[in-house]
Amino acid sequence: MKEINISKLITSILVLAIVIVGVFGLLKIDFSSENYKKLPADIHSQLLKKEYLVNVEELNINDSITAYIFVDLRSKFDFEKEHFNNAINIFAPTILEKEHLSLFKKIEKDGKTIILYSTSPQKTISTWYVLTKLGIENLKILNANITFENNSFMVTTVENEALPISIADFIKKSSEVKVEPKEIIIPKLNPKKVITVKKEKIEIEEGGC
Amino acid sequence: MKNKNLFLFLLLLIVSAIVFIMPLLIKGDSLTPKSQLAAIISSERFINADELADKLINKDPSIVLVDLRTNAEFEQYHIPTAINIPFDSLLDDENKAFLNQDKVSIVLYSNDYLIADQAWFLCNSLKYKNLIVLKDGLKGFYNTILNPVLPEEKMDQVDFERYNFRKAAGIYFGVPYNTAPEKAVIKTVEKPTLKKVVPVKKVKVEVEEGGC
Repeated sequence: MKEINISKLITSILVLAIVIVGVFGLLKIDFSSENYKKLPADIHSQLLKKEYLVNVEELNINDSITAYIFVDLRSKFDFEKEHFNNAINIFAPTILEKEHLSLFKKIEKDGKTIILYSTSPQKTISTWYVLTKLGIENLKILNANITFENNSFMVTTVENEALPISIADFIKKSSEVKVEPKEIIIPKLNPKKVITVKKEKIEIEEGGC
Repeated sequence: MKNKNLFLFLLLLIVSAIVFIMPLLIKGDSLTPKSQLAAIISSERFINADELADKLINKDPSIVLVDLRTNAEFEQYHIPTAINIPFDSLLDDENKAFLNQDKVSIVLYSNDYLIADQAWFLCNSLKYKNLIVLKDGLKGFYNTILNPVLPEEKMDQVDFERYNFRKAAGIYFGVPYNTAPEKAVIKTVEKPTLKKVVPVKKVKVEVEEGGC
């Protein structure tokens, strides 16, 4: 009888331990967050195609809303100063909020292209990366720098990954430049005339009393 | 009855084991979008040209430079000590062993920093450690170190010291220093002799006296 009770006790402890482990495991799963659907290798091959950038000149403004939707990733403050017509403001650090993700998915479902923009393509690429990895397709980055100067919204197309000058040529030219030595002019002074003054001998009067 | 209990026990054991292991099985890379977005937004992954130049001049052994540009661009010019891993072949098996380590800090750079940043995202997803991106890439390195702008006269002393450091660093990285002549030419010019001034005595005009 006693042995049965001990075995029952051990079984209960084991079951309890297993339940605790199970609950702990369940707690570790973050059911609220989205999970990545693409592997880094998939993104890498997508990046190599370089189809993720779009120039302003390629966009037909009349197609706005019907074919594509601008998503402004800047802060609300910058967005309110000026933005593209019909653009939606989603501040970059908040893109993973449920309402924003469902909005992205809705736009994608409607078959429209999402054009992300911020102050520069460099600032936008991180958002593109996270959203693409989450499986959202039809994402493009506006290849332009956005500034607000003198009360006007400036959109300048940029040439990414281009050097303004060949560094090798710059170094070569620098070594070819010959700098003429500086001239230091020192005036030659005429020697001063030295007039020697003959010292008169003081003659001591002779005689006296 | 005994068999039923054993069955339930085993079932519970298996379910618990699956639940416990599940988070690890969900995806190959366990980085969540939230944690990666936080890392991406943070600017900790960047190093600027001045800091990098300082580390390279001091021959910091904890730094390894990786040039992500094409082989042709690399051959034209690259920052001294850099090795070339073109972005196209970043995820190749031969490069994995080099990039996936925790001994040194790997500084990634390209002409700008768009490609270097992309390389960082990909390697970060693969949980590679100690990766840094050169802010503004080779373009920034050229503007800061190889061809620095002379500060204006009204600027602070610190700016002049920084300029001097950059100019000296530029020489270290291959730019010849040619803004000053090797030796000044000293010319002597004879001072023109002064003319002797001979004072002329004015003759007093005497007014004749008397007479009517």
